[in-house]
Amino acid sequence: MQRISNRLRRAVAPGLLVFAMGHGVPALASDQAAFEVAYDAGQAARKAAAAVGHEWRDTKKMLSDAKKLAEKSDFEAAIALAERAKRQGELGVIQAEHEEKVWMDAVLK
Amino acid sequence: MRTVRILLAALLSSYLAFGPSVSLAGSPEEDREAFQNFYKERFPNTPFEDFANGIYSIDKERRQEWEQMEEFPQYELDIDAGEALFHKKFANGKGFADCFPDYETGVRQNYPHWDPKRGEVVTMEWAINLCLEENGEKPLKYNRGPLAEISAYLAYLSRGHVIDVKVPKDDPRALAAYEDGKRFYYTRRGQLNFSCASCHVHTSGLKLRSDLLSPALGQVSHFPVYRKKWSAVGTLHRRYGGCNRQVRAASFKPQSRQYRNLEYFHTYMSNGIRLNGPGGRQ
Ligand code: HEC
Repeated sequence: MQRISNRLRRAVAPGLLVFAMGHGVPALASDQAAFEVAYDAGQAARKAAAAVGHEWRDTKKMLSDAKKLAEKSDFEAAIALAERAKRQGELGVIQAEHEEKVWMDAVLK
Repeated sequence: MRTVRILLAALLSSYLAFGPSVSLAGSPEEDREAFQNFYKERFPNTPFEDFANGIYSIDKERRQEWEQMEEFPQYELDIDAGEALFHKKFANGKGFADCFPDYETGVRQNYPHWDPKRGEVVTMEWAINLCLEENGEKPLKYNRGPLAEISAYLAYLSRGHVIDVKVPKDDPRALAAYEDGKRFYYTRRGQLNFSCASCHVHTSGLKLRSDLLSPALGQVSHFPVYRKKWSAVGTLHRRYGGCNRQVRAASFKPQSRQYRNLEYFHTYMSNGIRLNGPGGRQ
């Protein structure tokens, strides 16, 4: 159930965004949709980093803080924070890929 | 990413097929020798045995404070609590002594070890919970509390035994677990991009803010540890978690496969050091 609604949300959100931009519906709906896109992307990046053992300490909290900001309708800050979380996730994956090649250089011989 | 994995898998299988001769990696024994020699050269005034005392093996002033602390060690209460818990009977009439029949003369030196039936590294703390579960009891929380106290009691009874972790040659999965722990130890993590080795190998003996960084050699000998900061005894994996988080990496769960394999490698590097737990720390 949760998964279906998540998927729906992901499918509908960009549409909403386009719709909102074209028709000038209340700002709230488009902001919320834009936040959800950013938030989902942040979560996906965090999970990708965790899957290779390189999640960073604060990413989860950044995402939950972003959610709280969105609940208070501070969408600009919420989206910025979600995007920072996404960047952390991406950097974690880059770190993992890099370390896979170089960790052995540090081994005492 | 996928091709890298496939390549790695191919490398690993050729390694397993042709043996260490085609590998770039050292054997556990070669690793241990290089590791220990590094510290012997870096801290020439520290006798080998004394690395069991962590930072106090390399710093006179801190050692004096610590020796005063050791006159009335805080962890004694935890050992007593652990003793009482250890001897409490289970609902089925059995007890921990049935799982650890040699506890009086020490059992901690047998951990961590490779368990071929489970295909996993078994640590002292996991063994305590396995004992509970096998007897229909609820497992205890890792990190602190009753489990750390039982572990402290068993560590105390095991004092003086020599660390002698083995990586059985007849089971390639054991070597894979060791290699996994070794890789973890040297892999940089977190926002600050540090590995365990960044601090405890390559900058050991130097200061990080007000902390002196201990040599990794001997670090495992005195766990669980009573820390003033914790106001209690805590397990090795609790410390691992703290060290991961201080470089702003997410920590792993205590007794996760990652931390058990890390402990396997980390403890192997201290083979030859005597157990002296529980320890007292700031
Ligand atoms: C940013 C530096 C840093 C990194 C990285 C780091 N540690 Fe530590 N660690 C410390 C400091 C500081 C202490 C407390 C002083 C000491 O004993 O070294 C400590 C203490 C410890 C202790 C307790 C030593 C004792 O005698 O009680 C263990 C065990 C330990 N670290 C293991 C690890 C492992 C394993 C890793 C990698 C997962 C790691 N550390 C990564 C800084 C670091």
